[in-house]
Amino acid sequence: MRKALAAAVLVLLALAGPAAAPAWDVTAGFLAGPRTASDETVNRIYGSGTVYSPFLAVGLWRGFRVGASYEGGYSRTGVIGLYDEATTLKVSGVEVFAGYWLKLDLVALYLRGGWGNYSYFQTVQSPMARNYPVDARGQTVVAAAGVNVYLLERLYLCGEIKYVPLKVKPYENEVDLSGWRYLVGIGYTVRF
Amino acid sequence: MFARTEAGPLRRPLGTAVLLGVAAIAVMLPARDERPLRRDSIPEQAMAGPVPPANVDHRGRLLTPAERASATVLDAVPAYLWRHGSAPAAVGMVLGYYDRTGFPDLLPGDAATQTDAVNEALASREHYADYSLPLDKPPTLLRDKSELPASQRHANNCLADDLFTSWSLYGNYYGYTWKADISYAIPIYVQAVSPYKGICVPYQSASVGWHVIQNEILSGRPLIFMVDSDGDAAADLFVTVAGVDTIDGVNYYGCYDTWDQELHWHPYQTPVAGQPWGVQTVFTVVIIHVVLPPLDLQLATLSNDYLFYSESINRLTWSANPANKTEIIHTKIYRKQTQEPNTAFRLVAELDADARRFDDRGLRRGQSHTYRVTSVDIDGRESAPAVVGN
Repeated sequence: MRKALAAAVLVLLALAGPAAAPAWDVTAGFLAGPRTASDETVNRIYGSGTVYSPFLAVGLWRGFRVGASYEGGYSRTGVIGLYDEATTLKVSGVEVFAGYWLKLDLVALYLRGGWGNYSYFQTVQSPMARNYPVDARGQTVVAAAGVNVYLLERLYLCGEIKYVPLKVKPYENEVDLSGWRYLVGIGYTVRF
Repeated sequence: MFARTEAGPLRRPLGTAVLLGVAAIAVMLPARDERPLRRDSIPEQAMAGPVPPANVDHRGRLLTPAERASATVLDAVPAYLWRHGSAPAAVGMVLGYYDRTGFPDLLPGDAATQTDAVNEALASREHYADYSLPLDKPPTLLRDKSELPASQRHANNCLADDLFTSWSLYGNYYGYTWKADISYAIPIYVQAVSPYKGICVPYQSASVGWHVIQNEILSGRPLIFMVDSDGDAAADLFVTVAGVDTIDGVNYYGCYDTWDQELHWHPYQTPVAGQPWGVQTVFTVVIIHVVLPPLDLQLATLSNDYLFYSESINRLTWSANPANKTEIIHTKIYRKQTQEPNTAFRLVAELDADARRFDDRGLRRGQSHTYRVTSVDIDGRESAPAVVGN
């Protein structure tokens, strides 16, 4: 995944050429949309959900940006185990990323990748759960691709597809919390 | 009337007294052929032969129709004749009564009459050949096959075998039976031929008030008396008591004395020289349904997956035992770690009777356990356990 991400960045860099760009800019926005649960068991118990993701990025040079974002909102309930006991699962995280934005008139395509620190928290209404608290963090890489459509010079709509591969093992079972995010939102760029 | 103490265990409700009084006897039965040797502290023998001695008047009081109408009689008690001893017949009549009133299998076939099959159950041809023969009578005791090593004797196959009737090994002439063997033989015979439990408790008649005798008959439980038929103040005959009556202030017991098939009425009194038919020993007899454990007990080890961790569960399943005749109200689950001694079993659950599954949760992986599952009936009696382990 990391090699693929690096290769994609290099390809975009080559395509970009010596494009004229402001010295630097700051963009911020807010994305929201559904996320999937890749693991069949997680999907069966908790299902897909929705997430929201505010972000802030700084454009440094020729469409390259670095930034940070937060992802929250995935909080699902279900029943689990032989006795269909009530359970909840919450996943949230922060990311730092770097990416390249290819500006094409009113549209900008971008690829970005980064590192995410995700927390996960599970509750089960079972006496057993007292002995196994699940409230931990896991780190992973993050990859996303998206498009910005500029409505005004600084204001744009944004669509993004992001994949977060996240496998954790707080106890004896490894759990795959990975999933796709299909996000749309709005952003605003200030150029300096 | 003879003075009798009103104190003693039979002042309690009889069922309770019987159950409490003989628990040890009932649960610790020796094997049918491995009876302990003589208990010389209770030396009384029934010695009477197949016909009344010339000096015995066994007719008793002849009841008028009005007196008979006021008597309480257990009509289902069959009248059996002396069968190589009074004890096999007297005990057999009690068992025949229970056989006819909800406890089949105690005697073969129809217990209402003394059929050949019933006779075989009372005292088999093998019993007669091995222990009655050679026929003997005091003062010369002839040795019979009871004195062979146990491995060379025939396996007990009738009441008379279990009663050691006529066994020369124990000093019995033909037809003789020791009193002490009545209460030993009944549980053993019942266990050998049926799924029930037989309980017999002997009491010295001096400690048994008339109200107790009445209560037993009114409760549908015939008794066995050891009586002094000839009035020499020594008991010599076992009879089956099937009725009670009080006439002009005198308490009468109605008994089948094995010499004919009539019910004879005699005053209830302790043995006194010159007054025949005094009662030396009262044997209460109860046949009860045994509480049986659940069937098809199985153990499966399951993993309860909580996504990030899982729980090991031992799942017990069973089915109700249809042979239970009393109402089962609880199922009890006991557990120990397999390597622990049996004293380590601890009650982990008491479930309603309709439960058919129990999950023992939160167990450590890798540990093996053994479970005992019992049924408890409405009288609080607990079955023997069904056992399963992993």
